[in-house]
Amino acid sequence: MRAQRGLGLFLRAVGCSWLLLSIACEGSQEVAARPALTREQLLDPTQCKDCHPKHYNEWSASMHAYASKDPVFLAMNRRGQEETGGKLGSFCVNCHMPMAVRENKITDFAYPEQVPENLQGITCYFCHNAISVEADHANAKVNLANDTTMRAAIDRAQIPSVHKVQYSKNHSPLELDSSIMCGTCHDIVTPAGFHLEQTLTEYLSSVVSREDPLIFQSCQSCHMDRSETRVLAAQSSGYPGVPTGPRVVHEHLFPAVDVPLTPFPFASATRMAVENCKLPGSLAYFSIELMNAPLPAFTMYVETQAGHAQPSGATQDRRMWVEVTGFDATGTQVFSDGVVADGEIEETPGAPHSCMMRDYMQDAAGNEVHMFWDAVQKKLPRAVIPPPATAAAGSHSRVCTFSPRTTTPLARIELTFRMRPIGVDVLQDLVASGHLAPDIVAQMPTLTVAKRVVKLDTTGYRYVVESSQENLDCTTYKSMLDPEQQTLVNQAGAAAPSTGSGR
Amino acid sequence: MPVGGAPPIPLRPRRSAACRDIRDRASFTGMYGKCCVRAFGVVWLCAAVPGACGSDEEPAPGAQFDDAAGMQKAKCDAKSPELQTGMNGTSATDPATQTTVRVVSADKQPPNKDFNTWQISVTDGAGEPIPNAHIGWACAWMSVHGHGSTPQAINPLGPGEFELKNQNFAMYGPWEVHLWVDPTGAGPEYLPQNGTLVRGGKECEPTNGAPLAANISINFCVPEKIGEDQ
Repeated sequence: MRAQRGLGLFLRAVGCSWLLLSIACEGSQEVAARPALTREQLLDPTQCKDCHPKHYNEWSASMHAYASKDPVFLAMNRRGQEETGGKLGSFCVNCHMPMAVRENKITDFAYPEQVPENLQGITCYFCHNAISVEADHANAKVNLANDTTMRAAIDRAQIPSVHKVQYSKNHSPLELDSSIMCGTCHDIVTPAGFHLEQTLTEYLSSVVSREDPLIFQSCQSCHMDRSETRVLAAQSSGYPGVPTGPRVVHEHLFPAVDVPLTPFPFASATRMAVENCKLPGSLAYFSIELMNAPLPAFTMYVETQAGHAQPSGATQDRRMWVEVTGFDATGTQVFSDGVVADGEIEETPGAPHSCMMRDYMQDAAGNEVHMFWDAVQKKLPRAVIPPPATAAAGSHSRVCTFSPRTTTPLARIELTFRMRPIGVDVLQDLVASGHLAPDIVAQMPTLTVAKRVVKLDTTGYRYVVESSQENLDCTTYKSMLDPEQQTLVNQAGAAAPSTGSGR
Repeated sequence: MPVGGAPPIPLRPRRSAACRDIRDRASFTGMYGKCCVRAFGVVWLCAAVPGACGSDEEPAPGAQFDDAAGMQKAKCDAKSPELQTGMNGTSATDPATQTTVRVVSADKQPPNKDFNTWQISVTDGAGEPIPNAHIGWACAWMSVHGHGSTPQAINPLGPGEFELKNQNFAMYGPWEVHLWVDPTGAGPEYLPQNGTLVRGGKECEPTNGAPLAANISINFCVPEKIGEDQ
């Protein structure tokens, strides 16, 4: 009996072996697996396109790809090199083209555009080969493995033949480590000690970075949307070696506020992502509270749903403001405040805007400066919308007060929330010094984040919003970047704003 | 009713590391020779230890965890209806009036971070539509962060039916949609807001004169991670 059972097991095993072998090895006999990529090949983002076409499209449209091509970056970096006698060194390019720095391919820090294309921008390899972050993390202090293993948030990944893969907490949207890694380039201190960008600092001070699963949000949570359905993380065109199952994947466009100022792939999709989705989604609070007569004064609250201040990043360069226009019962405009015309400087020293959200830099003498190498660290009051320090409602608001110089009762108010990624005064400064082409100034868009028409009732203390004129859309831009849907979108003639068209 | 705030879900049972390693490598090694040798190994192991690679502990097809290590950090209960089958049918009832609001259709299934549009119905205790029902205010609120906003518009669709257009679920995690529903339609006429507007610093407080407290709230969770939406 025992012998029969043993024989049965043996025969069953042999049979199973043969069956599995037939299945597992059939494809391999006909087509060889894709050859492994060398480290040199992995440095080139175009090598990733074949298997990751959607990720590649998204990245190629992103500000990570544009970081070394942005004319404002090139102008400011070159001027900084000149005005500091080269002491600026690799300060800018450490983050704007980190692999070029690490491969020693930049011969002149003032002209980094001469770097080979495959090392331009923040490449796939830089992020996906990162293994750790220095304790003093700012200014791109990321350590790479410099091997052929690509790190990501996918646990139990299926192992392709083209490169090795490894799960990494530094890449998981569920881990604080991933935000710390983003912060290496999104929290910058200048050689003079000026805290130029403090997005990570803001985030770490906010409730959203608290490591409670219900509360925690990472940078990726908001800037790398997960896919709504499961899709193939990798496609292996022409090779059968990577039969990946469908997964939830994450978008690699990283939309925030910047858009390309020169011709760049999928520029209209990027602008839609910023103007129709990311910005209006983050600034949902937008209310007014009327004050007592006799003047029809009112305060306007704006609150952020972001996990950092708004604006964030290079807040000394960014400009975000509210324009207000008031009308009486007959429809006659009786006042306006904060309206900035196309091409006009948003705010000038000595003439503060009624509701401007930005930061300021000063030199040692207390004069406002535009170039960060002139700035010294000072405790200046911030005029940004603060991040949510606690879960208490209202902890992340900014209040602006408007006092129309009229006694005419207001019947209707129009509120328009606008933003420019870089202020016109900064751009004109770069033009004046000969570092920026004048036509770039006109390419800087004035983004309309929100526009509300508010109708006041006869008491003047209650109001309703008559219309909300945002074009809210987080779907179309994703389709425009999806290789499988591009054809359909193009055929449908999807209308999209063109980059650099101003308003 | 699904309510965000459930404790983190535990890891699903997983196969042993040795078995997992063998299976993964056996399937995806590109070299012919290695593949064959490992395939033999898998079969022999499975034959010798029946059930070692059995299906009981396998993830469902196409449901591999992208981040198994992070499963302990789930924001949402994977078993909640909105994650299993979507928001359609999710409902909440005002105990005082037995008025029920039900999500008839949602454009994102499960609810997704960003703008979500729902069609809702308002019915009485017998499940019949209430033709005179009026929604005076609506607001999506994330209490764990203390932020939220109103939908872009509340559009009447028919007797007892409304569209909550572009509700902004700005982050992953637990959300509540608060509704100010007047089933009689006889109360004061509060013009519904038509735009994202919440009184500064106050949770979902209406600015149009409607009462401060909502009478119906629909709780749900916007999932972030794989595993929550299986």
